[in-house]
Amino acid sequence: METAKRILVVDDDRALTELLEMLLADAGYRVSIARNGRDAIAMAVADPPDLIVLDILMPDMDGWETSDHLLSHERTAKIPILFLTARVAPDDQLRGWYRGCFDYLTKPFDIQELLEKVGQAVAPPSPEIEVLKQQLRQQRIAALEQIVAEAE
Amino acid sequence: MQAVSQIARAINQSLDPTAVLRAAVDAIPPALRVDAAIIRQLDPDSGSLTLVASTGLSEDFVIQRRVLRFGEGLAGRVVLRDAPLVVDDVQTDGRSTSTLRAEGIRSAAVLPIHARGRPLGTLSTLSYAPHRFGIDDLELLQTIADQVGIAIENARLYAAEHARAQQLAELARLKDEFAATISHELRTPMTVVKTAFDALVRNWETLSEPRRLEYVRAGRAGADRLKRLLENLLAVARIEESGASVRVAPLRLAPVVVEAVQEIVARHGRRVTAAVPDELPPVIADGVGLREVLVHLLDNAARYSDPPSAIELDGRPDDNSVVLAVRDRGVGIRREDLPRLFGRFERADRTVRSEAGIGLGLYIARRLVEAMNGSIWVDSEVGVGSTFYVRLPIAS
Repeated sequence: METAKRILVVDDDRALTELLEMLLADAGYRVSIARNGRDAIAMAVADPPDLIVLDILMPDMDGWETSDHLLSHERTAKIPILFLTARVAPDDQLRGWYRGCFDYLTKPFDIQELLEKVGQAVAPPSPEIEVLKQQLRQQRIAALEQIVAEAE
Repeated sequence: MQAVSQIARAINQSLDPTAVLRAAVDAIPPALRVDAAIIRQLDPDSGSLTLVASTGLSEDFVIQRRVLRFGEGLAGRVVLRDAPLVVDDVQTDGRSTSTLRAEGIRSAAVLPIHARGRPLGTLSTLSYAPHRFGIDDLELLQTIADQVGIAIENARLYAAEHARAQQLAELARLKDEFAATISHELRTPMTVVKTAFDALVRNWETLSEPRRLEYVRAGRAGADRLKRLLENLLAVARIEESGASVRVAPLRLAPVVVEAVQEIVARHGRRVTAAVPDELPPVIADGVGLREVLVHLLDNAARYSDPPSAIELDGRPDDNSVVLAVRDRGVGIRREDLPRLFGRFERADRTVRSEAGIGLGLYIARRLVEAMNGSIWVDSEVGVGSTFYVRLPIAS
């Protein structure tokens, strides 16, 4: 049997991390939890997971700074990051996409969508999926850029 | 007239009143062939006159006569009578002061400074040699005094307008921030509720009975949090509308403490060590209000610290009061965030404390405690923990 994919969930809200842990474990993933950016980096470097689900507003070190560290560290640079955050503003979303996140989901999220994204993120790489992902990414960025431009 | 145009230029060049005052005092001695000049500004509340610019005087004089009390000196007299005053011989004239004589001044002319009909201060012109201030001199001085008045008034208006604009901008920023914070804070517990129910619906068939119960409990905890958030928002709205409503009476602390602790234990499943002895003197407080205060403080302690670290509540007599202390060993609060901690929209920087709560709890707690004639304060260190104190008067 294939070994379970490992997901690191980073969020300071205890109730939510407990729930995500249950949800992802029920879907067959192995889950570990970090409640702030510093712990997340230490855990990811020590034992790189297959995916990092990352909140943005967190104590001590926020999700932006955490993702900077993760992306600049050779052991963690290739790990997909899925932002899962209450920051819904288009310019925040753009900031996440520019940073090269795998995806950006806002709270409250749809668990069907979350599980689909998680499944895609940990799937073995294939050229077709890569192309689709790039296309989706370009579409999202273009749409958000338009929203931000119209707002200004 | 060269002096006047010089001063007018200075006014046009700068909204900084000190530059204009400087230009005015510097322009006067050569223009009038006198030795010294002083500009004093009037404090409308106390009536005192403060030296704001001077030239040609000894250091001692400037220090000694920096502030003139209401009615003091030639300048004080000019303000009282609101008319110019010319003293041909300071050394013999009864209206002059000993300091002026000691300074060796012979002749003086002092004019009131006005703007828009309001007295703003005085302009003094002094000479060490006998000097006759003619009509032309006084006219020139009056023109200069008027210019100075305009400069002071402009600067005051500008400062007031600037402060007002900043106040409005700050208010708008706070409102935006409040709306964004509420949206964020509501989103988090809402996410918990929605995720729990989504998971139950989606996976009902495959979930074990105990697992289903776990999801239900998580969802209910999220709903409770939403409910408390809304209650806090309503409580703040009520306080803003009509103040914190409390009915104070002699109150035994122990039962109130037990209730508050029970609520937090039920809410967070955390252990709280309470040491509030039964023999503490009764305080003057409102039972319901105090319970709410303690619940807010204990709730913060539970949320900003990790189990199984200790949460403690103790009470001790202190003079004519009792001090209750709620202590946690959690993330702590940065020093720069402490002064604003009990404010309405404020919460310690979200990068330090970001879990749901909006920080309304501390504002509500402060208003309740103050309405009970008590006080509330905090000691905290980042990474070590926080202790919140409540002092209440004892019943005599």
